[in-house]
Amino acid sequence: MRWVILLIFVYLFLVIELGVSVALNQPGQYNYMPGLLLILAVYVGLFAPTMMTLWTWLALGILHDLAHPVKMVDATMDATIIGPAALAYLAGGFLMLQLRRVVYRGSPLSIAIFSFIAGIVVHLLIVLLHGLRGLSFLFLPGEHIEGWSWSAELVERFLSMVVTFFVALPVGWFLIRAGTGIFGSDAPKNGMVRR
Amino acid sequence: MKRSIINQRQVLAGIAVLMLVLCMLPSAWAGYVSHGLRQVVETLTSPLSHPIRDATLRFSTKPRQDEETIESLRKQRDEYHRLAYKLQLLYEEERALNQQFQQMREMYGEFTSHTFVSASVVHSGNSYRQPTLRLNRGKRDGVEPGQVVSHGSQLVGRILDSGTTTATVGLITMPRTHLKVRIVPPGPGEGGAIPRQLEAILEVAEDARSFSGTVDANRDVKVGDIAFLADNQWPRDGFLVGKVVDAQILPNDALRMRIRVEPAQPLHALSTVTVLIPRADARRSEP
Repeated sequence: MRWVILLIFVYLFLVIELGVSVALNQPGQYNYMPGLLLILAVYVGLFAPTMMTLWTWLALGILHDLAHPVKMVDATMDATIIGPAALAYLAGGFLMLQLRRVVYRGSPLSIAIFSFIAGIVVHLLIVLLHGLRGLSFLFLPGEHIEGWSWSAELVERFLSMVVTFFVALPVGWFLIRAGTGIFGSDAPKNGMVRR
Repeated sequence: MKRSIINQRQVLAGIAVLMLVLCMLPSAWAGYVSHGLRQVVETLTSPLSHPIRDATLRFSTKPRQDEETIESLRKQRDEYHRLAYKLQLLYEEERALNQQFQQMREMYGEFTSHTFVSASVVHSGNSYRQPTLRLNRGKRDGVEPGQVVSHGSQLVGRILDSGTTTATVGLITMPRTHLKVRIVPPGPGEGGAIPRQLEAILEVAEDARSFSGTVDANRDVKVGDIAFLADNQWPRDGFLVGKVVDAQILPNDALRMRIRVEPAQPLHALSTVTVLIPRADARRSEP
């Protein structure tokens, strides 16, 4: 897989996600923003070698943290916390490596389903880590995100995952079609990937 | 074959541990660590993400903004109407007070020995036995029992008792009130001559709204004559008590004439009055 083309697509997907999220992620309303970075990560996870998959998922997780700052209670400015999404994406990458051996990878539906499944792990871990940060215990910082609620976060992220599933169908179709020519993905549609 | 000491998995594991540590840092430290990277991401993505954001906002939020703008304009308009009405009421109140002060100044000159305190009537006790007014001024404003209350030049009564923030005025129409008055015709005398004057003692009539008294039948009293206070039991003379509305020879005594005097306006219906506070009392009330 070509790193340069991947970087360009990461940039494009990140820019679209940042631009559209302002309209779809309004304060006081549920978040309907699809996880475009997650869809790209799933595509990479389906076709890329193992270490490239893990590095890509980690990098995309770090990008997710950098692009989504949070506002703490009693803070005047947003805070960018690197870690929750990076670790969550890394865990999602490990999951992808285990699941990709048993599915047919040439279908956009696979990308959509994996986006949903990996999204469950990613978002659960993000919510867990942010929730742990709110506890004042041992080394935990005890800082709460403004307006944070476990249930609201889970519901919101679930809605986002549902939207991601449907968005992953056309995006996944495009990525699979363009895969060989643009990314240089040479993995067979099923079976083992070159390690 | 050369094998490196550190392989990719170990590096990845180390970075994962680092991410875990960064995840648990206080937000101030985490912000300090990520500040540079965040600046880079924002710099690289803003040229494209901002136009996309603007286009998305224009497409998705315009109707809501219009509705909110119209709704907020309606609320502002209603608020302004309420304020305008309040200001109108205040203006009317101020104008009435100014008229009172103007009348008092014209009739009595400058009250150098008194301070005027305007008060609003918050309650009117309209019973025959106890015609009173409750004012929104009290000891805190220097109002003490015994002080004279007027409405412009019209005598209203005296302070019966005063609390910290309120006071009760006993109207001059209270039962068994006797007022010594001087009755004069309205306007100046002809050719600068001293107008005819008549002294009389008035008492509250049965209707508790007017005063009645008797004078010699040969005195020249006409309807429309004005009765001024001339009673040394009051701190100050010269207040208007009322106008003569009736003058009739007594049926039983042809040598006597009964006169009826009514205040210029119903005292129990006043909304604002003025309390005359002697200067010594005013100094005591200052903080």
